[in-house]
Amino acid sequence: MECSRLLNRITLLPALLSTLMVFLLAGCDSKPPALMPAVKQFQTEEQKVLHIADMRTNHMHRLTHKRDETMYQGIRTTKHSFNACIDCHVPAPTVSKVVKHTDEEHFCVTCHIEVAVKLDCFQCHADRPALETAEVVKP
Amino acid sequence: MSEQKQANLIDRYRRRFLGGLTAAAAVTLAPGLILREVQAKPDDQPISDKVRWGMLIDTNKLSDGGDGMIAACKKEHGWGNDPHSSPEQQSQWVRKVTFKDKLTKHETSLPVMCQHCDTAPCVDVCPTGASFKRDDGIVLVDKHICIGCRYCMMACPYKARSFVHEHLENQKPQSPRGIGTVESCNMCVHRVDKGEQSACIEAAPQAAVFGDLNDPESAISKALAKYGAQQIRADLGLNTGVRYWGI
Amino acid sequence: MATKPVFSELDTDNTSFLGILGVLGAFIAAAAISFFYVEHHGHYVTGMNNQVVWGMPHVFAIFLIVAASGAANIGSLGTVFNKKIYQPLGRLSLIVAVSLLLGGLAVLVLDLGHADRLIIAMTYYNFKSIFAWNILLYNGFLVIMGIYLWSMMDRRKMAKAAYKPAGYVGFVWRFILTTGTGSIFGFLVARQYYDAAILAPLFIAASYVFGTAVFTLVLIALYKLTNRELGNEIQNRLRYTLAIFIALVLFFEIVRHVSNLYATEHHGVEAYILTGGDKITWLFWLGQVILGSLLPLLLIWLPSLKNNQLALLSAAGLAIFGGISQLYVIIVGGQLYPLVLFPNAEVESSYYDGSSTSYSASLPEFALGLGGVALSLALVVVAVKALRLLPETLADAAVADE
Repeated sequence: MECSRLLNRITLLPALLSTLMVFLLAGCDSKPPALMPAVKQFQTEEQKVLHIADMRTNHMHRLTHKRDETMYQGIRTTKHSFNACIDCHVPAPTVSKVVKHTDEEHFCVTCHIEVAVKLDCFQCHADRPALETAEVVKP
Repeated sequence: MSEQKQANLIDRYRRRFLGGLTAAAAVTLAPGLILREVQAKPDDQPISDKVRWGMLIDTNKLSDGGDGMIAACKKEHGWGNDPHSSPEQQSQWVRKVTFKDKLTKHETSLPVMCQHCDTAPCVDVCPTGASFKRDDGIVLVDKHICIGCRYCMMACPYKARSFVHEHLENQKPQSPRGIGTVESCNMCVHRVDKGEQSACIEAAPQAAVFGDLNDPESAISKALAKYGAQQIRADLGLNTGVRYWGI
Repeated sequence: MATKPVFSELDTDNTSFLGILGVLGAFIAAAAISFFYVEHHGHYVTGMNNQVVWGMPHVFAIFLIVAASGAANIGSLGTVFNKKIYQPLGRLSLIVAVSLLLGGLAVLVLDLGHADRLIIAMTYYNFKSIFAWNILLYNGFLVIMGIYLWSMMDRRKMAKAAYKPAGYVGFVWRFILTTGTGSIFGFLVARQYYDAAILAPLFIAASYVFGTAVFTLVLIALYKLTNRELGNEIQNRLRYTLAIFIALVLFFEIVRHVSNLYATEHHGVEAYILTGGDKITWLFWLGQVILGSLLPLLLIWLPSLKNNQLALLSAAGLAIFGGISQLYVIIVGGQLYPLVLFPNAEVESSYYDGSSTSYSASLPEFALGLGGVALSLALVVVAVKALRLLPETLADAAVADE
């Protein structure tokens, strides 16, 4: 009884407005979440800063561009290659620990949860380095 | 007209007969040549339409009927063990087909996969263009724009295409495959781009050759020019990139 | 003498209106649940597989799409062929057509492996694909029918001027649309049961059967619901339209099967469909031929059943059942029969080469298909409630005498 009375009182407009406010407030907090460190590090701090700045805004364009180049023209350089990203940013699976795209700590997923953008890359693409690659990357 | 037809028939018969005999000689030559067969293109250069990749498989030399080739493909691409799918729903990039002539009872086994047609029905029917042929003749599915309508599977005369019926985990990095999209043999395009040959060819060097059909100097072109070869369902006129001896 | 028809909204009480919508809504909800269920798990929960890639949802979807074209025929008869008696039915005819198409497309789209990527189907086109053309044909159909309906309903001069052209364009467009739908199968060189140009005219003829049958049921139901008078004159016209096109479909089927039987390479698939395929064979002979074609013809042409509404209703219902059977036989039966890789040989493999496979639709597939039908009907019910589509009377005295 009480519940339905409460529901009646809430009209559509305030409900909409308050939802909007939540989103607006969420947008104000632009502090990025803590991300998993990459396996390989850049030689210089400058390279790292440039890479982060570029990728934060452009990673989707870089990946889409590279995707079509690879798909249609067979260009398989490691620059902006999806597998190269994964090899460096996702730890190789070990016996005790496997980081998957369903885990919040997965490099891509941490951020995508934060900004609420659905990722369907991992429906098809490997979300972790292959075992062979893993051994190479290990120091 | 009928005389010419007769002559053609005899010719075909003769070729088949000789083909069977001489195939052995041709293919034993091949392994030495194979390594130089695939010219590596520079990594950052696009593929060229001057090349057309193809395969030649000698069924007489396949002692296991292609099982080894199929196993190599599974290992390379990771299909065939999707946990929820029924046997009818499993992906099958390549399968062993055995056929016995009704009259002669002659039995032949061969691996059947995407035949990489020149005029591929799957490419014609795809509404979004996700099913496409690369400049170098390899027929692929761009899973980024595949909507999963399965019309290509209806159109393929070889049943070479499979639809992924469930969420997959832990795919091979070199071979992305996933739910709701269609997939098929891609001639190990990731290897070809690096100048290597398909995994199945490596698994059966005594019976299979990979190479450029447009290059008259390649081992595959030489063998084809000398002995000819058969296509499955040649009547459809699809000019397949995969050719067979002994079918 | 006929008088100018007066159109009015559905004037039934709210209870029956909401009741009908409630029942249809339940079916639509079931379809929505099925969609999310399949979307969440993947298609392994359906009966479809890599041998039978199109199943029950496609049977329903194609039925609705083909019926849509046929339902608009009543409008064309009034406009293009100037048959006065059909003109009062024009508005309802177009609404039924548009609703059927939307219902069919919804089913088709919700069965995609990636329904979430529908936008790609609208932005990437491969113009060699009949599927891509069909996307344009279907969207065009909706627009043309919209303009056509407006030209019927608006009293302005501009609308009056648009009436005839819209009718003609709609008429031609319908032909192309059904040809396109038939060609989805006609262009498949790979499969033994398809790959025949006759599938296009067969689909055109079938569209008249499905469309007329659905329209008849909808019309009679709406007039019963509103207690408006529906004379024998109109019903008899529909009755004979139905009969003529059932006979035409039978004729095309006979031609198709006989010409297939003449070619040795098609003997295998014909034997499979006509004599050997269990469920498919039963559906063909009992479902399509006897119950779906011969019995309705009998119900229509038996002199003692003249002016019998129950006979007409049964005939229309049976024709729909026959149509669904026919599409099931074509779509599923055509896929159950194996591809012929090596003629003149016995073929076997680990992947069902050389032997026919089996298919049985799962509950979600049925629910999705029926949801499409329910969506179509719900759209019709809402449209007739909101718009002036139904003539207040279709009594014999009110309809035009030619």
